[in-house]
Amino acid sequence: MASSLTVLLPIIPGHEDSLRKIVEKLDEPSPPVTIDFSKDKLTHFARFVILSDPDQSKDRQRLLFATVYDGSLKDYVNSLIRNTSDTDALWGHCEGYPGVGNFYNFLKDRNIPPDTFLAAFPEETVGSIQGYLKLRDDLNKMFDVPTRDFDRVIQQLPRSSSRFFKLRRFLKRTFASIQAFPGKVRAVFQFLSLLWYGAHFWEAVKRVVLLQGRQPPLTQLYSEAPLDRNWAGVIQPFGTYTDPKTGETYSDEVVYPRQSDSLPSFTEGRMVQNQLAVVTINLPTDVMRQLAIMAFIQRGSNLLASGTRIPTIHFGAWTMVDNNRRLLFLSHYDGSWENYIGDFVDRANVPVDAFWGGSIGWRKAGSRDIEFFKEGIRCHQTCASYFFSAYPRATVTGIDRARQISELYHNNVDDSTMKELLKLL
Amino acid sequence: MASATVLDNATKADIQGFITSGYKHTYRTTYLFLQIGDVEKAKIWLKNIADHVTTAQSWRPENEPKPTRGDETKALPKQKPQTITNIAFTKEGLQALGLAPEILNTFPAEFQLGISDPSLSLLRGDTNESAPKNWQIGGPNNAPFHILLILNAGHDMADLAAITEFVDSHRQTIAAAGIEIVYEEHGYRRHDDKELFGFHDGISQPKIEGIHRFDKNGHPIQNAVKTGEFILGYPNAYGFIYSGPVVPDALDPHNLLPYLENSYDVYPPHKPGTLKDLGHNGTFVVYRKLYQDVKVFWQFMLKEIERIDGEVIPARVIWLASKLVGRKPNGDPLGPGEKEDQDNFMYGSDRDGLSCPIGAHVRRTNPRDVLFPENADVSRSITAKHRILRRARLFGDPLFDLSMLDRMEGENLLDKLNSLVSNGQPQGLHFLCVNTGIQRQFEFIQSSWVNDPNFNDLYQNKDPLIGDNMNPHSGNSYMTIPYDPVRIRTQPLPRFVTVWGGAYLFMPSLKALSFLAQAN
Repeated sequence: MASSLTVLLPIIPGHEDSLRKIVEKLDEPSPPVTIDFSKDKLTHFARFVILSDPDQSKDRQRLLFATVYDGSLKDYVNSLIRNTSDTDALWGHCEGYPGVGNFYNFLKDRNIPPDTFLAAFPEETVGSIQGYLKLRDDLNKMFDVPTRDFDRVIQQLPRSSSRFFKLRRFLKRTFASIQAFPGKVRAVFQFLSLLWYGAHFWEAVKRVVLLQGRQPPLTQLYSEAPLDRNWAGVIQPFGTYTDPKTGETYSDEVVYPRQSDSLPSFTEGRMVQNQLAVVTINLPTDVMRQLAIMAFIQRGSNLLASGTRIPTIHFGAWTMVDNNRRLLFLSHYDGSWENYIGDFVDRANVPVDAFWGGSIGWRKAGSRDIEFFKEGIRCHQTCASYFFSAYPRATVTGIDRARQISELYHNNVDDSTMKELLKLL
Repeated sequence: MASATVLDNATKADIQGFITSGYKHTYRTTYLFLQIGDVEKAKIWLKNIADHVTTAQSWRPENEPKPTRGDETKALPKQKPQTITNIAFTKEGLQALGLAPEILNTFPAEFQLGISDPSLSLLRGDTNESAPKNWQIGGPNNAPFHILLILNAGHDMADLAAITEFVDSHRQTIAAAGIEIVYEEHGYRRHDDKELFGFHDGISQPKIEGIHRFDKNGHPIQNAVKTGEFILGYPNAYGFIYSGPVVPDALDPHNLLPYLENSYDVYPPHKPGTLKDLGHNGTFVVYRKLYQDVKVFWQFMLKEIERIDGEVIPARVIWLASKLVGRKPNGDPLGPGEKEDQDNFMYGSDRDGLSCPIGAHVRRTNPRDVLFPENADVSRSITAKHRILRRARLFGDPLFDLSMLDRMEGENLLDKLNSLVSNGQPQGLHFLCVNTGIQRQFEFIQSSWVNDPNFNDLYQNKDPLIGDNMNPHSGNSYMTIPYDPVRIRTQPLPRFVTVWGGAYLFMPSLKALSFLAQAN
């Protein structure tokens, strides 16, 4: 089962440039520090992002390290240490770093579990996914032959005995159901515990479920997207909120200047996979509702054992940080940024509006005003200095297809399964 | 929300005709890439040019009775212009004309960055030999240009005199205005509308909801695309009117431009209601000069068919090429039924791609009603948000008689394809397209549909014609052809099309053109 580790580590003042140089060069031929995330096959995705730390001061920065991994956190941290050429040289720029000896506790204590974590294949490991992809690749190479040789190659594919196939499948499914039962019971109780949120729970149901397909028609004709599209210039915050009781004003925080996605780690993989790190500011009045919505989506997803709703998302994680003042969204997705944002609007705008409806600067039309939504994401996203994927050229649907191919390949009992397998190649 | 608005002739008089017509009655085109020298003289020239720009106004005679609905084919014949002028500007051109930075800042980010921006180039797959640093026009190593003048003339492919005379008439006024012609490119259309690989091109152009109401048979057009996808100032496929570019009203003292009607206009420090709409009735144009390696294309087909079949049969060579393109050489779709309308068909009955492969060029640049995992309605809705209007012309003479592909001339065809040699001139396409959102339309198609090797559940399959295949950083790209009992997969695809130039351009309305001619 994949788990997530997310830490936000204040950078020691004056160390920002040094740390940035290290993390931005991780992918280069002769970097000052190397991390081999691929070696132990535990890391699905990992990223380093340097974010501002405005609660400390406007000049302060912090390091976001976020990863999706297999196994226990302890084993993972040990693997991280083992596969980093100089752990101190990287992490030593962060406040409170105690050295390698206590690195596990350092990360464990600072881990911020996401409030909502949706993954396309939560039950798969790096090894299993890479295995499916390799099999698909190998089978494709086998069939790169003239058409007259197709039958010969087909004969070479292994055949399972159908006599024991049904029995084996029955036993496998029964065992899986027994294994999953405690988790299902836990999921039911967790879902019922949402009632603790009271009225906010019903608000979550309304915003996430009842609005599906029933959103009121838009009455506005014009987009609320900012008209200033100067890429390198000053960007105005999207809005402010003044607490009527205290008079305190909270302002939206935009990333300035807008970051074009030209950082080294971003370039080669962009055609197949990309990542997104977005920080928005919560309206103080809406925090409880946001927490209820995120809990509702997470526990509902656990109960239904459903993965992400958008077929291009490998994972999406929404986390309240800074004492619920900000919402951090991390995602790893397929295809271009434009396609991804378009997917949000076309396929999932109700939950998107639910997640971000409590942010300062959010507009009434929400994500249906796509130009505003795109500008909003652009102005609140920070590009990763480095990101890693264990399967950088595989899409979610590609992995799913490879998984189906593997299932059919290992249970190839008759002409019908063979035909299905060949159709998937 | 506003219902579809049919644009009247008065409105069309403000819109450049390049947007609404492919000018298919003309066969020769010259593209003049101009650089402004003396700004004041250039503005005078612009003022004069505005009187000659061809608009979207109807070509039917004025003051004649309006044809009845559905009866337009029986209306009086159109008086088609024999010489046509249209004009567009780069960001550098707008800067050269003195447009204030606060106006330039309201243009879309991709227009401000320019087509040769490194991250945008990567996104489009303009890499390696197609990288802007290798371009002939519009790249970082090329002389910048400010204005693209598009001149059409010639009632026939062989009619060079008309276009030459037309262009010469412009040369004098251009020179007198202190404007330099930094590049001059020539294009043409074939009578059979084939491009130079040999396939009928330019089919299935989207119809604009506010402009095109009836087809050539008099039937109301179905599935027209929202006006705002191609003309600024009208609702787009999302139901919104995109705002921008804008001008603070103090900078339009002659009141040439309409007011921006967006009550939300968020452009500090300007108050709502004080902005003019520079974009209204205008659009954005993408230009790309595309070199087609015809010899490599057909050599690949011959070699692959020999590898796949063990022998080379002419019909199979064309079969393979058709599978990559997504149409037969004569333009017929590959789908079931020979009587299908070339212009109007869906892929719903061919979800597996057994007729037209999902990775074929024509299918992936316009997926119509099949975008997995969505149903037909949602797929069509998504596709409609990413359409472009193409306005292409060829350059270079064909390497062989392209009609041989339609006549299926057997061994003659094989001999010809086996012995293709250069005729001393490159072959290719001046590709231009119209869209109001370059990022959401043109760039989206390039990055998400053309250059994504996993587009629509494919596997390692970029666009076989225009994808950045053979890119060492992104792995091999193969053409997968669904087949029984198992797919045929070609060897790694080479790059058949190389980008030799490009530009992102703003094509203003006539009012906006007058404004630019007076801007300080």
